[in-house]
Amino acid sequence: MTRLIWKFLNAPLLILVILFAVSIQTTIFFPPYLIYLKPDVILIAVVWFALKREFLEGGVLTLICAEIAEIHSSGIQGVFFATYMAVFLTVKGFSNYFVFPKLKNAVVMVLFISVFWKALALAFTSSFVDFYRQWRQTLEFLLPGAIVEGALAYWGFQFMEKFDWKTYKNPQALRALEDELHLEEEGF
Amino acid sequence: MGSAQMLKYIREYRFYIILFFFILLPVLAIDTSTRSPREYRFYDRVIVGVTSPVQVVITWVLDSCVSAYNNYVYLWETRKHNEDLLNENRKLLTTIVNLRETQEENRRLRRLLSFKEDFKLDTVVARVIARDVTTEFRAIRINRGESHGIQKDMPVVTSSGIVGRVFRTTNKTADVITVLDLLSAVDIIVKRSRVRGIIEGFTEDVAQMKFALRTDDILPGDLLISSGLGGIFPKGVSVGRVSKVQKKPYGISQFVEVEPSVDFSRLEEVLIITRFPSSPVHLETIE
Repeated sequence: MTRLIWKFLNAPLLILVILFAVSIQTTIFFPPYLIYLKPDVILIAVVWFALKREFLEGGVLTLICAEIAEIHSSGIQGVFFATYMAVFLTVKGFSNYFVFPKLKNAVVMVLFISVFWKALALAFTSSFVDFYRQWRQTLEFLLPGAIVEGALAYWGFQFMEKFDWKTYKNPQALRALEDELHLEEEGF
Repeated sequence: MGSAQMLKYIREYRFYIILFFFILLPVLAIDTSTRSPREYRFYDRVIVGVTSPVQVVITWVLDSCVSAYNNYVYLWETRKHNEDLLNENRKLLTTIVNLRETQEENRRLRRLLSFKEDFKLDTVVARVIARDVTTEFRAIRINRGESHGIQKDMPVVTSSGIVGRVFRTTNKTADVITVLDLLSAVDIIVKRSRVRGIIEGFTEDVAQMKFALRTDDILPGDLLISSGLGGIFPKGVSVGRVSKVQKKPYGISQFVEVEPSVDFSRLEEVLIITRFPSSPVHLETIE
């Protein structure tokens, strides 16, 4: 029973972890030389949801993450919903056709997805503000952002893997739990 | 069609139905009629209620650490040459750290106070606790909100000039759209030639003056002040200085780059103007 509660608490706890990460992200990168190292933790979380969650659950979590991003930014209404959902659907689509057997494969994908997300954000915002003003900013932060997000994804994915295992969200942990419940039902 | 058959269809096309909603929701969320960020809803306030105390604590811890480190480095050489005074130094170090921080804060607050008195404004002092979640936008969060009398569209300034305007609030915090933000627009006047224009965000550290005609008299180094139009900012507050002027051989406008008066990389305390005189402020000397 305790394990089922843990499994149920996986998503709310993960959202709390993301909120905490966003709080750090918005506070410690104040100095101008640190701004290039500012990662997008929500993007990493969205990629994780696309890879490790079912379609409906992952999509809903992505929408919640987009909501968190929107209220911590002056971004135009809906831009985060559109861009993060596009990332989620793209990664989900890719994961149906390609296998990411190792962590480093997923990390490489985060690098590309980071560039993809920035291009999407540029496309959306340029319909509201001058394209020239925005592309300079995007270009400036494109590579540092991708590298930092790739590096953070390496640890982030390891953490979330462990977190999923502890909260019985991981398929193997879930299978072990089901086997155990089955054995209990059988009277062992 | 019976309900059983309907359910069967829903189950069969479950994926496509969910996909449809996942595409529809962001499309509905995008507000094409306005460039502005949206207001807080009740659940947004809950989320901000969770993150803002964490942001306050992290900012405080970071400030304390940086301050302590700076002072420790400052005193390091002295300590080496004064071994006998080591113990006393250690005792005094904590006091010095606190005093230096207080002194620095005092200096900044004194300048803010002098600014406030010069302009005859009702203001609230606030501390910057967080920045925008992405590098694409440049909002900041401050530790004063509705309970301190802060409302939407109130101007935010420092003794150096305009920071931005409040665009949404919670009970304890407020989000400020800075003059460097892509969605910001401040009506300005070139102080020397009285040419008008609008300042919009451009990159991480410079803004752009829009609607400057080729024939307009604008030179690098010109001071730009708020015009007071729109009723958000008081007239005569410094916004920035012209850092670059480019006139193309064709076209009706010129490109004017502006360095903001406020150093956003060192922004710690700000003033939120809760009320200012409707008549133009006579001072235009905050340079």
